[in-house]
Amino acid sequence: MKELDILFIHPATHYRSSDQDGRDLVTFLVMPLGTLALADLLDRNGYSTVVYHTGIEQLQDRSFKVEDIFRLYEPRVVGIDLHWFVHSYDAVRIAEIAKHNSNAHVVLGGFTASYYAEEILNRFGCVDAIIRGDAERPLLELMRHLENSELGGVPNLVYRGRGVIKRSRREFIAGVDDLRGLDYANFELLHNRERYCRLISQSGDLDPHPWRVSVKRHAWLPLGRGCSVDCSYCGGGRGAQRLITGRPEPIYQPKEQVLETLSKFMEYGIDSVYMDFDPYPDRRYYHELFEMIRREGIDISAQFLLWSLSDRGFVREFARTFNPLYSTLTISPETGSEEVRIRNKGFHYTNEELTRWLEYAKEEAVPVEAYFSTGLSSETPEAFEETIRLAERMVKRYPIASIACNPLVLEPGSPRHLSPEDFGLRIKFRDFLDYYERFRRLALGLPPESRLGYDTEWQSEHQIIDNSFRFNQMISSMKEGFQ
Amino acid sequence: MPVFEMELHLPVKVFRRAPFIYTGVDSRSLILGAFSDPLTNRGMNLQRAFPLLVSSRHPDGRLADQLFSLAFLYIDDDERRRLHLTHPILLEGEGEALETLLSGANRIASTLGCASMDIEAHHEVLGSISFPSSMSPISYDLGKATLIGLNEVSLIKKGFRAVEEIRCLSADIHYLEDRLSDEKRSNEYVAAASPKEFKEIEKMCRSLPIRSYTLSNADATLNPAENIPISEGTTWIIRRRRRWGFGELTVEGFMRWSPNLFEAMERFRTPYLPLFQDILRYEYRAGKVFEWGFRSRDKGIILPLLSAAAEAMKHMGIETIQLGCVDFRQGFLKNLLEEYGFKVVHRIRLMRRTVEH
Repeated sequence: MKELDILFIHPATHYRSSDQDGRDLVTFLVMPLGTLALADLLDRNGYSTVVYHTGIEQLQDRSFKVEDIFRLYEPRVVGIDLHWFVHSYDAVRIAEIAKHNSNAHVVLGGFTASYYAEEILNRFGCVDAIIRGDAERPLLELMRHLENSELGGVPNLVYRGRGVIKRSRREFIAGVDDLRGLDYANFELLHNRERYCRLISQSGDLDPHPWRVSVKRHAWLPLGRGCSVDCSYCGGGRGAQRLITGRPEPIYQPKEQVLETLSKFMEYGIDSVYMDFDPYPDRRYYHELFEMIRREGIDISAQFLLWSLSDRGFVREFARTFNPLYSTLTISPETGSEEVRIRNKGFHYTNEELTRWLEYAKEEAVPVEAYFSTGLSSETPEAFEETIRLAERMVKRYPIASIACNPLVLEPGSPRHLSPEDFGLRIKFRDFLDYYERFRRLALGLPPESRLGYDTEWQSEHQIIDNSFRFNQMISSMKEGFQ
Repeated sequence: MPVFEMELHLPVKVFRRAPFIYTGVDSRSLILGAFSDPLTNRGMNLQRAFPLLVSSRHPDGRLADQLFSLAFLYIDDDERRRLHLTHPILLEGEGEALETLLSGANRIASTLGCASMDIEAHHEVLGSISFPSSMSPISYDLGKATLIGLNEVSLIKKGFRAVEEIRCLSADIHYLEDRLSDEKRSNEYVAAASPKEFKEIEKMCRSLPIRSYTLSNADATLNPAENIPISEGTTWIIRRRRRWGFGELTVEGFMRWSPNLFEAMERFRTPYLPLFQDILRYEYRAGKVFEWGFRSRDKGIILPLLSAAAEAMKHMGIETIQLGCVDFRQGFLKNLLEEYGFKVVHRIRLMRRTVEH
């Protein structure tokens, strides 16, 4: 068995197949962007580090068990990301396995863990500490302080000390200089990295088109942290960022560093990057970044998620910069109703503005991915019909590469979670235990008590789920094979 | 001696080294990085497309991409499975990796139970070849693509034999119009078909006895014609009144053409031009009749259709007309076209090898 300073484990979400076999399957496979950077930071500081992704391991070898990792390594620290709430059960389950199979100090991090830090430590003895918010310096200091058990000096830490839950006083919010030193492309630390780079969606075993053959290598490009607005449903908006990380305003990764990451991606044969950070509509940062990418001759495709509509110049610059083979611009109008959009989206726009933007995309020959949601505040059944009509028009007239409508799940720390009454919600998920239980039942194949965690004043949870089925059926019937 | 490895991967650099237009049924899926169209045969869902990338491994472990070919599984008219390889693209090196590509493709073809493995070789390319330029859903701009030199003799030594030769002929549209106007002919029943009208008679058109070459009638998915959008004035039908009928019109022939989308690709840089229907409205210098069919070898069927297509092209400012997918058995058509000023500008040889199981 090999001694290791820190073992990172990404807990893919497990679910039990509904057929007779009741197979153990995995979904939500994307790792938080910072995981590899954290691993690399520790590695460069002399700590031996390995990253395991339980979903990728299971896709490679169906008999894989987390316990297997502890037969290979004896880690001092096990770091488990609990960023997205969908990993609530699996993160804790892995923490239990780590405690049972090693003497490691078990640390959790990420938004969900940060938001529910005290509750998690109170309920689950297998978790020793949680880093709230940005984890770079805290994790390094935790490694240094573990020897002398002086954890009070580690910033952003909530930990168990002599049976009491404690919170360190020091606070760390990563600034641009902290981001500058990070390397997000050290895939060497990730076990089965080739398989991870072949992922083209989150879905894993839940992929509705399992016969699809992935032909590209894909990576997620870090571009910054934070948000400038609050969407009603988002647990990563401006307010949530302040609450969880203390960050008042968004910050961008230095452009030179982004170029360096892209160059490293190219060395790994990455074909396309996912770009999901767009907090300011003026997009000056991107105009400059795109020009630098062109100047450097970086040949890569991009899936860029626009948080607000752009002008035509941006669409043109995007088309000029990225290899068009796998490039798309993604927009999320969320709803066909302008009224509902205003109520829920931080960046909102009229349908006329949306149509004008779609014309730009068509004229500049850029394929578009479009995403809608249901379960929004003020969304009545009639308002949802507007969503269906808008989607129909988009598919008929514009170069839509992909279109879907998902029922919103209540996100911890989102405005709707923090003040449900203001948004017309009756919520069923409040505490960490509610999320943990939701995903425990999924993993065991038990029917969930609630899938979304709320009803709205205007629609029941059942109606909301039904809306998304109806939407996706409508799209399939409009164009056979449309995916 | 470099060590070559093959994997299934369509790297972005292929589009730079060989700009192409994709006309497969699953273009939306490909944008997202996947081929989604499976082949259902004998109760099995089989993977249809195989992006074959051969790389050489450097001593430091780094891989350098050498050759690329997109392979497609299809069912021929006799219900046999075949694997079709597009002309390999040279990404680096001198093409020494061909052997690895062929043996890798053979392994796939063998696993899939294919009767043969075919290579589409662009044997002769003279000047600018209009879109579509392939029998497969991937049409390379042959003026720009860095194709590997496929030596027919060495392919024959490797067990291949030429089974088809598909030609494309080209003419100056003004010259053609002058020649056609000299002919006394009736085009009374030549009419443009709207997309909806063509859909209604598509089956009838595609069952005409003399037709443009396709890899398979039984498995039309691969036929680029299936996914090229139809717009006003690009599909022409000739009908005749049956002698024994009472006013009933039968389809005697048809032609479908497309402007040379490679020209649009210079400006719009996307392999998915068929998704952007407005693209057909731009100005083009060349157009190509890529799908056609006739009930008989009658000049009275072929020339009116050609005239109508040429006139529609001229109306769009097109100066060069091409007619593709003429197989080597259709000498009468080649001779007829040559009479009207056409010259062969592109020959595709289909080289076939029995799969070693």
